[in-house]
Amino acid sequence: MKSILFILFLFSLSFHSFSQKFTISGTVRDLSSGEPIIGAKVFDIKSKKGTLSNDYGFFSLTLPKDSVYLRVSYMGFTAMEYQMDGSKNTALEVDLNTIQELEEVTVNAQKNIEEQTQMSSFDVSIEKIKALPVFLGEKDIIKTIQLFPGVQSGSEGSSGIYVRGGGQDQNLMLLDGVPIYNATHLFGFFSIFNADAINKVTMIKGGFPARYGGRLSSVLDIRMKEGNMKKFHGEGSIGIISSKLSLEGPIIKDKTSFIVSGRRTYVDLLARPFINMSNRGDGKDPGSSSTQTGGYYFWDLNAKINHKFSETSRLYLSGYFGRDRFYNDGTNEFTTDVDNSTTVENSSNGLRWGNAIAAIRWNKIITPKLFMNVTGTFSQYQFRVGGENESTTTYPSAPSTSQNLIFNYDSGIQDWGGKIDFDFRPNPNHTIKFGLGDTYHTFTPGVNQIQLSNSISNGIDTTFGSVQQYGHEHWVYFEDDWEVSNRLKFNVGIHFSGFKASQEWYPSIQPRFSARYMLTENSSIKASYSSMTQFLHLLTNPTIGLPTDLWVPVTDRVAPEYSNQFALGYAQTLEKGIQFSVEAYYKDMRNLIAYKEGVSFFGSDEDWQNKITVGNGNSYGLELLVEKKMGKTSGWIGYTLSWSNRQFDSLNFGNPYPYIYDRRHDIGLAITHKFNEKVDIGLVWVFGSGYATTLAQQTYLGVNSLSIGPNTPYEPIEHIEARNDYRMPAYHRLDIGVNLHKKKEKWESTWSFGLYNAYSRQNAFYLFFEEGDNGTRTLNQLSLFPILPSVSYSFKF
Amino acid sequence: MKNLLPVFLILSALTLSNCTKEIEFDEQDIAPRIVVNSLFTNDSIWSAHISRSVGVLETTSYTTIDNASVNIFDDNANLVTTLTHQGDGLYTSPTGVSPQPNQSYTIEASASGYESVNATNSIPSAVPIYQLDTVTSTNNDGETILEATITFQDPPNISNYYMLEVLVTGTWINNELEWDPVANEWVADTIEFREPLQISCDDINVETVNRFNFGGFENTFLYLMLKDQNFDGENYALTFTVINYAELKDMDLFGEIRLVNTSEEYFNYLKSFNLYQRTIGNPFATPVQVYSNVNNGMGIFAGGTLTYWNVQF
Repeated sequence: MKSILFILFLFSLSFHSFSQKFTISGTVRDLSSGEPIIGAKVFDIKSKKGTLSNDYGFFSLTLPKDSVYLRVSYMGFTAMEYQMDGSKNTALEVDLNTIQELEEVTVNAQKNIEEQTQMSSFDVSIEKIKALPVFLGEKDIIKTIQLFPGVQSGSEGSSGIYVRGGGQDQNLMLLDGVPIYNATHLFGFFSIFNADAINKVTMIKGGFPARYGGRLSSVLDIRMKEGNMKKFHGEGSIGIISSKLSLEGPIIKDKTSFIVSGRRTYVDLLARPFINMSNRGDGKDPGSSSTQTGGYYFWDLNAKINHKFSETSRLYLSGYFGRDRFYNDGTNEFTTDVDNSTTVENSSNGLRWGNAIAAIRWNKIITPKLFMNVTGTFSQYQFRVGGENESTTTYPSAPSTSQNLIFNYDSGIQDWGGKIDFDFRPNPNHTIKFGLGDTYHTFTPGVNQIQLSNSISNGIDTTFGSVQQYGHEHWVYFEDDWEVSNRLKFNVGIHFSGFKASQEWYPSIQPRFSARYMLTENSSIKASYSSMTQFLHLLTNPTIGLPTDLWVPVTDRVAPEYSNQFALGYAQTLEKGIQFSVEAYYKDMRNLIAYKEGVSFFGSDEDWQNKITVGNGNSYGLELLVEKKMGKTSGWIGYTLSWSNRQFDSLNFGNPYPYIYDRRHDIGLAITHKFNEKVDIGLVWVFGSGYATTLAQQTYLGVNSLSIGPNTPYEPIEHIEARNDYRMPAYHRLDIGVNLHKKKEKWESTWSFGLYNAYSRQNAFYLFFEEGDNGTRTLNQLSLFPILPSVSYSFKF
Repeated sequence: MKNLLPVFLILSALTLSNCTKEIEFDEQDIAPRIVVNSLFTNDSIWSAHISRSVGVLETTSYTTIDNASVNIFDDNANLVTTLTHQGDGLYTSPTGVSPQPNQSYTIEASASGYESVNATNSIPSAVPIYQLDTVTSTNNDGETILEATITFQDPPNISNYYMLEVLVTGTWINNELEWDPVANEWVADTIEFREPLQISCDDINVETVNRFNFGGFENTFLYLMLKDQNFDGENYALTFTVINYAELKDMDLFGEIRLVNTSEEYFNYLKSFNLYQRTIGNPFATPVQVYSNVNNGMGIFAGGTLTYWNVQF
């Protein structure tokens, strides 16, 4: 009885203390544009309690009923301060103004690295992305991310990312919360993300919060701008490779805004190695003539409309559409002497691929402590290689004949999804997120279609290959960012997900845990554990670099991939705001899939499930990062020491072997310096020890018979001692850029000059053996890009 | 801007420079090694083909090693036999010396200028064919086809690997006559032959790496390979069709159906070799590692135990 009374007494105390609190809630936005500021710090100087704004700028801070001195800040903006008496719940709309001065700001405008519970992650500012020199002047989010430790770039110029030894498919790339399946243009040289349309970029490599799931190795969370609610603005650029234009502004001021951003290539500079066509006239080959054209282009379009119903309710509609096309068209006409017939052939061949995504999203501040986001999504990636060949033959004294052949190879994935996410902040010590969702996947993992029709016989119309597959992926999660004390903070959560294949249901419970312990005011140690499950696989052919990779689901025969990742780290903010962090991690991966030996992914009528084998992998390493975010000179240097391995029972005779992107040492240096308002420069230097590759170093005669005798035939065999047992040469490159700004009253312009690979290092893209003129054989390398200058003109109004 | 333009044009020209170059090869492992190819059965003498590998930077052609020391040892390290060179890299044992089932053998080969190599293998017990059923029928083209079913008892609780082929033996009579000085007359030139027949098989346990299309038959083989993963310990009936039986049936030919219970290494070699052959010249195919059990060298030392059933076509 006494214990019951005691418990009731405690409860009454907590209730009493609950009623002694009040809540300040609202949104933090950019004063000039109305864009939400994500991660703004909302801090009560008196109670030393604070919180951060969420992905939509929403914040909620519950404090004891007492006077409050609130400070709202974010890097690059002038902080706002508010004094309140704490007598009642308060809705507060905060508009922060951009800082104009250049001098270093020493006030802590946002959470320092040591304060954050989230480890293994980093944000990249759009301004930094635009300031750094990049490949042919194309500002690229992915290329900038590749400069950070733990993120490998893959092959030269590639926009793929390989995070902590994971594969390219193990990255959850979200654009406004919608997954994207192939985030590259031009065979991987550019990413699809147009920096002009982007608000925030966050990369998470480990310690995944429970709200994320579905991929093993990383989350790249990209948030689009919402569109300027106040004034009409535009920006654009004209470069060597592409031009782009972004327009944004209010449809109804302070209520409805839009942003549209488009980009298109117009010069085939990069496509020149792939395109080598010329028109030939008559003369060389009497009786025939042919014309050939070929080309490549890509375009993409981001669009968003944002409508504010009230201070507590908003609706967003956003979309991304992009397409790459590589084409080769031709006409050939020839006459044969045999029967004096004349044949005209028209052919059209090519590859095309692209993404289309759309999302509709409704935000609602339900109570001052509870924020809700409801999202409906559509995402589609399609790839097609194919062509059409039409020919007509005319005879001097017989009816003409015609034939039409169409062949296509299609692959792709299409998702329809919906989710509800809640952000609940009962008090400053707990930031609780929970939610659920479902995605209906349709997979087209490689379908061949052939149609042949002609004028003299029955045609062919056949489709073969892998059948379409479907599945429901669903999830529910709960996480709590819990400040236990001033020193100790946890982020604990659980992510439950499942995938329903045709017969099998694959449930998965994934615990998540992160902890931060402040050693001093400026330093902390951190630890994390994440269990992740992935219900999709990307089948990648290692022999040829085309966007022919196939997205395939788990099925009744093919199970999900799983991983466990542990990380331990130390973080500190040094003088002048320089942040230092070091992390060690270990990750194991199970049920990875790969093509079996000898499999040809083109033209086969075999289902993909018969072409794969299943295995495991692991990776571990150490990452160092020193970053200075503010001031005239800013940037970072990162170093990674890592190992990444794979083991498949049916590959490499069951022996473990290095993952193809196992890079022992990786250094990324990115620095920008602002001389004044008119001139700034950027410098990027990268170094990486060689990737692993398979190189047959011997050949020998192998018996092609069932017995040995005098007439036994032998065939030469290239002997591969082990998979990926040879190392490419080390890779390093220096990029330099300078930006010259001119500011007028109503518009500003920038000339950007850059040198990619400034000292023209010939980095190996491919190795091959070749016989020289003197009869010797040598190992050679093919490099793609020597020094490449770039120039672009950008404007903003 | 004007001052920068010439610099820009010069730099642009650099993009057209040659982008291939020779690089240093990290010579981990290109010294030539001894290659041993030895496939043995219980009804043959020991034989091995010895050659040298060619390093990737060499431009020499493949050559045999004619002065190697090649010995076979049992699992007690006792010398079983020494193989002697017969020419063209072929080494054989004396007659009367044959591999025995369930006995582990090690081959050691050495030659001046090369690192010695060795390999170990054993051949399993024989698995006899205890029944053969044949059925003749007529296909859509009016040709007589022969469908054969062999039945054998798979040993239980061990992994077994099988290879089956159908051989035909006979004598070709050459149309051209040749002069026989002994008989002092023109006689027909005859050639003895012993060749595998093309067979077609749809059995789901048969490996498909060595199949090809022939004459409308999609699953055509020169020999079948299968393992007992799905029929361990069972009486197994394997059905196949002799493709060109219509041509053979009136020629009074004999042959045999050979069932070889192979070692795992023999099976792995055959399978990987056939897979390798299929991918040559295909840039879209994933690379294949051909199996080898030769330590410090390359090649294969493996065998099987043979049983056969005589047939007349």
